[in-house]
Amino acid sequence: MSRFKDEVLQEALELVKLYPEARSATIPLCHLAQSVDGYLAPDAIEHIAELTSTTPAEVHGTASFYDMIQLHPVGRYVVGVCTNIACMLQGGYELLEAVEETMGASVGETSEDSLFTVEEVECIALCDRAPCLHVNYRYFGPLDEEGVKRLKSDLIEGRLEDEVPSHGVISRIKRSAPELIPLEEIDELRLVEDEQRSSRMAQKGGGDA
Amino acid sequence: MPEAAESIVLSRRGVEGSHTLDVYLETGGYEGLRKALAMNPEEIVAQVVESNILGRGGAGFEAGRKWSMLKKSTRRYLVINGDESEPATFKDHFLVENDPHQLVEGTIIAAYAIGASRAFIFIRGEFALGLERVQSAVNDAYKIGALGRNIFGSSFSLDLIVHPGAGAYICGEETALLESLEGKRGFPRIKPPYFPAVIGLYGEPTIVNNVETVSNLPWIVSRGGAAFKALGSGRSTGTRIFALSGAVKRPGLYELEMVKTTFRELIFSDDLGGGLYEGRSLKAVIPGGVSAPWITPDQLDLPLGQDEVAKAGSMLGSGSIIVMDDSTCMVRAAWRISRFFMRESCGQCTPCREGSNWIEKVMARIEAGAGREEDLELLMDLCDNIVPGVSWPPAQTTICVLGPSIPSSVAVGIRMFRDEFLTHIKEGGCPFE
Amino acid sequence: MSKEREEAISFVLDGRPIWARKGDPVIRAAEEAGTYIPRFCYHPRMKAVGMCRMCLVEIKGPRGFTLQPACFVQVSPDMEVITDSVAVRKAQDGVLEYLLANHPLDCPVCDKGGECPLQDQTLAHGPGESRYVEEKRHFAKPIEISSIVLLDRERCIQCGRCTRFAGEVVGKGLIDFAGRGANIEVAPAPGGTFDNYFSGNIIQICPVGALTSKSYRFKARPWDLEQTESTCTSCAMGCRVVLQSSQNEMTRVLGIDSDAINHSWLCDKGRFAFEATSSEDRVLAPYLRKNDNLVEVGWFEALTQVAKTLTAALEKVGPATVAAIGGGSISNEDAFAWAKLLKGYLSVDSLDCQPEGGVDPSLLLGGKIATFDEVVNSKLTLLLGADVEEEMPVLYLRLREALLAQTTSAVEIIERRTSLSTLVSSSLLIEADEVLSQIESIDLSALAGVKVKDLSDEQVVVVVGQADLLRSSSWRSGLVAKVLQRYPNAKILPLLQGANTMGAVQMGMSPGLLPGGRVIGKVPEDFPWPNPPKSLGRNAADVLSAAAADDIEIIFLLGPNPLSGFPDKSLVRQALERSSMVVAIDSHFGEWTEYVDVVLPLSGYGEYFGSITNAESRVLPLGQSLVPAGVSQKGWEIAVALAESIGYDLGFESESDIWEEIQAISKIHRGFSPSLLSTEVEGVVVPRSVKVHIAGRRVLDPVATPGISSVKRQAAPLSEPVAIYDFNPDGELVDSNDSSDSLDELSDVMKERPTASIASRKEPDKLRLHLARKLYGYGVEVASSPTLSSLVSKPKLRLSSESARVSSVEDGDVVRIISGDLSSGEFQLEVSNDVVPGVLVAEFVEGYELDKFGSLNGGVLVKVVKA
Repeated sequence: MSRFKDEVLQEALELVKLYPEARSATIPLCHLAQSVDGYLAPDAIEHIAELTSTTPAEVHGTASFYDMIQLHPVGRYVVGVCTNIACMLQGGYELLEAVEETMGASVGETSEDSLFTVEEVECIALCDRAPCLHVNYRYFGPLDEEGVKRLKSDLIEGRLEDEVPSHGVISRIKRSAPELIPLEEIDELRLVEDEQRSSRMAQKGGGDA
Repeated sequence: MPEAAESIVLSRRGVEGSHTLDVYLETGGYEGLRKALAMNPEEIVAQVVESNILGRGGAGFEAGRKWSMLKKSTRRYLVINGDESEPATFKDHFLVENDPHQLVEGTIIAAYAIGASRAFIFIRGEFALGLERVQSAVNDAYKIGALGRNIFGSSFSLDLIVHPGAGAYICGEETALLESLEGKRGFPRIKPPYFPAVIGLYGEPTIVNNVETVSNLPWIVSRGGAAFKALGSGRSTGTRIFALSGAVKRPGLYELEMVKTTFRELIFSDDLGGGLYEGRSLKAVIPGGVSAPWITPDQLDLPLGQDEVAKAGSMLGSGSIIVMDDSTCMVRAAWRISRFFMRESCGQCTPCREGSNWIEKVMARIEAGAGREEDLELLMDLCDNIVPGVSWPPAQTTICVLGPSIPSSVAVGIRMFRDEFLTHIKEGGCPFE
Repeated sequence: MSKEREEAISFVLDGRPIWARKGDPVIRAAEEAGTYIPRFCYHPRMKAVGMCRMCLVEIKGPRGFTLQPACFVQVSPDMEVITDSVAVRKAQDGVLEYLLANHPLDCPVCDKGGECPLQDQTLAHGPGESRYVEEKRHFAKPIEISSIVLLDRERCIQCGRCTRFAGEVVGKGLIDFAGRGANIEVAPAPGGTFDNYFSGNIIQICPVGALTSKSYRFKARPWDLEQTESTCTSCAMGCRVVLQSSQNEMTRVLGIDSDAINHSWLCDKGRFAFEATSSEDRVLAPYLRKNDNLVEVGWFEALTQVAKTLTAALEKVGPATVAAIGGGSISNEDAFAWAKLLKGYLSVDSLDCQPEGGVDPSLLLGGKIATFDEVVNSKLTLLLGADVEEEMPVLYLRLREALLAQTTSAVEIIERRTSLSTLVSSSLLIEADEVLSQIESIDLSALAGVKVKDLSDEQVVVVVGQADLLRSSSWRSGLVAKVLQRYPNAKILPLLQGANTMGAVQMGMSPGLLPGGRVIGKVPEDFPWPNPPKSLGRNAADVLSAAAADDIEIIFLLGPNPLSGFPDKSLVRQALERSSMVVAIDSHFGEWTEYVDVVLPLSGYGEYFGSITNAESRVLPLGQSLVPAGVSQKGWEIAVALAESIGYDLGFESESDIWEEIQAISKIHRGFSPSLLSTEVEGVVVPRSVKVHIAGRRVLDPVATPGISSVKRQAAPLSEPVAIYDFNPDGELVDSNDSSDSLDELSDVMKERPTASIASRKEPDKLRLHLARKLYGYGVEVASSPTLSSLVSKPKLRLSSESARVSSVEDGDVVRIISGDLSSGEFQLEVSNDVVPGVLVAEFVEGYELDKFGSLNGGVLVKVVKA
């Protein structure tokens, strides 16, 4: 739907500046677009291509490689249930069934109320709390059917509002730091340091001999 | 066996607010960096070489040696690999959430040692909390002068960028990670010539270190490489975090002195894994990640050391240990692992892209009871086409090691539990259902 | 090619020591040694990616022999390579089986069936039956990824040739892989397309039937196709092609990999131009205007009528009232025969093969012409008023590659940015009026980043463009002359408009010229033409002006619509209306048909063999793959027949008769014989004294260009070259009976021409119109090929923000161009600082009334107003 606007555009430009080559900002910008729209809309793809000096096809190609970037609208909450080996051994598939039932959506689908999109995901690295899942990448586990029901009502009734932002919001902590030191300036510092290092090495070598 | 006498990277576990700057400073935080800045970079490299710390990402290469292979160039980068996605590996997840300052401090020390032009911490996108914690830590580090111009009043200057991933296992492979960091699809690069230390990020020499590896650096610099080397045994020095999961009573992270503990102790000691559930017996253990050949009950006395496990025909890898008891269907376990690789293959190389897809389909069919006896031979041959000879350590027909990881569980499953496969085929279904 | 790459090394291939060029991939070195390693993703003109893994071979390394991709690994001294072991075969068979697992078995209905590398390899090495019993991958059937190309994702084997072509060769990543793992697919952006000038190449390089052309789809089966080697005539690049036909209909054109020319690439114009040959507006018989209607007649009647009128006009008022326009798009043989008839027998000198102004013949004949290889390897390339992608698209690909690889550095001087602007060392926007006075003070080598001491002027190439169709040839030659003062030995590459403009000029189809650069009035006594012109004729623009003033009786229009692209259509209309007789020797009815009195049907592209000479003065063969349409004839046959009707015998019964005479009187063509074209795959650069690097013959890789096999090569039916000349060991012609160097005198003749004055802008809100040459702007191919005419898009107008302010218009406004009483249609305006102030850039596309203001002689001042 949307190109970046106002403060979000400012943030986008800041992100691009963090990298020696603009294209590196592609994924951070995809996350940023998702934090606004909940998914990566075609207009956002186009805008990201402009900001990173690539083509929309390349941004789309990159974005579609990654599981977290949604190319179609999803529910407010994406629920990803881990069924990988560690969770499977502890009932991951049973948990997935419970989630499908409770949230009202099969894997890959969104519930009718547009609240939940269910996904089967690979290991999310919470194996000591298996079986586990994430809601918009906020982790819960171990969970049973009861736990899933409780989770749903907590989400719907707003008890997890602070903990689980809407889909697409990953890090709510923004970078706060002085302007980057230009790499050319760093290059000069490193040249001096490298010279000092080699003269020290030479001295040391001489001393040893 | 108790936990290691010395807890290094998990030393702040259980301390409330361990992720905050205040707690970090109260518990000796940034002392390692201050000490490092008073040393010459090459002295730090020497300490790390002496510590003999092996990379904690999975390949287990000596970190100090890796640094010394960095090609000479004015522009060079440091990238920290926090894209932890190996199934049942959850140590870096814990570290980024609970001790982000330790990671940041270690990163700055590494950057100083190699003279990095800029440093990036690549964190798995799914670790939303981890991303917030590490970004906060980086912001704090700038505030106290540990990052930016003239760090702690020294002549050393550095910027550190926290970069989020977006969900793709393959980006844990270091060249795929660099591609991803360059804003591209995570297609691994062909080595040679694309060894990161020679041609890395933006074509410049680059060091890629794992989160746990650099989290050890503040301690190594403070106490000295020799102190680290004094722990563990042989090539496996220091402590490392083992991630225990599966059918055990006390799954979790255990930081243990290397080699000093065995698989049996880790799984069964009351203060560690706590043993299996009542009435269950051990069937197999998957060490070091799902591409590793499985360990059988008769191999449980192997010590948790890199060379020791390698000698026994498997690998310590990422330090994850998955326990499977006698209620586990081995066909199902092997199928689920093959499904993982099918979903995570980047799609570049034909054998991996098509092989993982084909193997998963046959495995699913067998598990569902529609297998044929000739499928076992077919599976072994499909494996052979990815790993000629289905050998260990594997030969490969693909660009990166994801390809040769595919056959392992399937081939090992068929070799070790052939009867179980045949039962599925003969009975037309899974006997464990 | 750098020195290092040329260095020879030895390595061991299957136990045999083999010589190879250092740096070559194993796959290529092995191929040159006769060992073919199977492959899919490797393409010799693109970077290797080692993805498909089909070319795995065993290479010895520190850990013994391991399987490595032969496309990616470069040979190194004493490297040991095994290509025929059990391990290699097992790996390759495994890859093949994997590729087939999800590949649909729809070969019987697949366009690639019969020329498919996957099918061929399966036949050669594959298993008899599939072990894959699972369900195959499904995608929706073909999706349109451009106006021309369809993508069938089920057939795709993910080799990445098309995506690499887009990003690497064209530089526009309009398609990329999407998805991951088994779900990976080639995709444009959501809502985006792969529309660009080169899109057809991905059809050609696809190793399976995943990419097909809308027009070729289901048209023919490969084994039914007749294959004929030929040369593309869509521009003066002369790309090597193979024409494929079935049952006397051309179905497809593919690019041949020529080192010197097109590296296997074609632009879409060249690839689909053949459709015009079978279009409905073909002229199939002679036509004569009777009672205001064009009526089909026989050859005899038509020729008799022309001969009668012509003889009468010559007797009544003399040769100055007869003129011929065109000839740049007909063959060398045609051009020579027409020149002989008109100049040699009728004393008519007003022949102009460059009606649009073009490049002064003295530069083409007297200067040193650069080859494309010299352009891409020069130390300094000066792009002078050139928009290479629009004017010569495949040269654009080669220049782009060279600029990225830094084998040349370029400076661009033009009024507006082009697609090369971001790649050149320096892009200077200078108004055309000012550049003449400024060019001497521009430090070109500094702008190119070349040190003066490292630059000898032989290493300078000037690419002379015609990006602005309103610039005159005298402006162009004035500019080039100033560059040549600084670099006297610089070479020139003219971006000529007709496929054979160079050949036509060499055959004498310009005022004042005779074949071989000889000038009129200075012919030796033994010159074989009986009646050469005595006085200098008019160029095309002057002919048209004279005709409009009733000073011309008869105008011949030679070749497919030679006035297409002429920027002053009102002048053309008046001129054709007021001439007594207009004779079109044309293959198509077109925009001027209603003004024509006689139409003589000319055979079309693919209907006759002969030769053309491209912009680098390289003679290239035209192949015949079709029986000529209707009773159409070759151009030279028409000249011979017309001569006969008048009562002259030109003495030509075959192409070889024509060449015998060309060789006798044209110094440029000494030592050249059309029979050479059957052996020299890269054609022959003339004059042959020019030293040209002859590349080794490329091994034909059937997977690089699936669909090209057993190409039929045609040449004039001559067994031996007619005249044999001696060459010294350096390849220079050792011959000089003819001591008078008539080429030197040429420039004197040219000086007699009045130089066009350039209108200057006195009123600030007046803008000088710049008609930008566009690939799909005009021409018979665009008008008559259904595929190409569908690609024509509405022209855009651009001007600088400064000019916009003065003209009180804004970006996005809908505007008209006005000049005096004339007004154009409505166009959307783009305000862009990629245009020099004071200039209005209008993309020239026929049919949008942009050619009503034009005149070549003064430059056109216009205003732009909101509609």
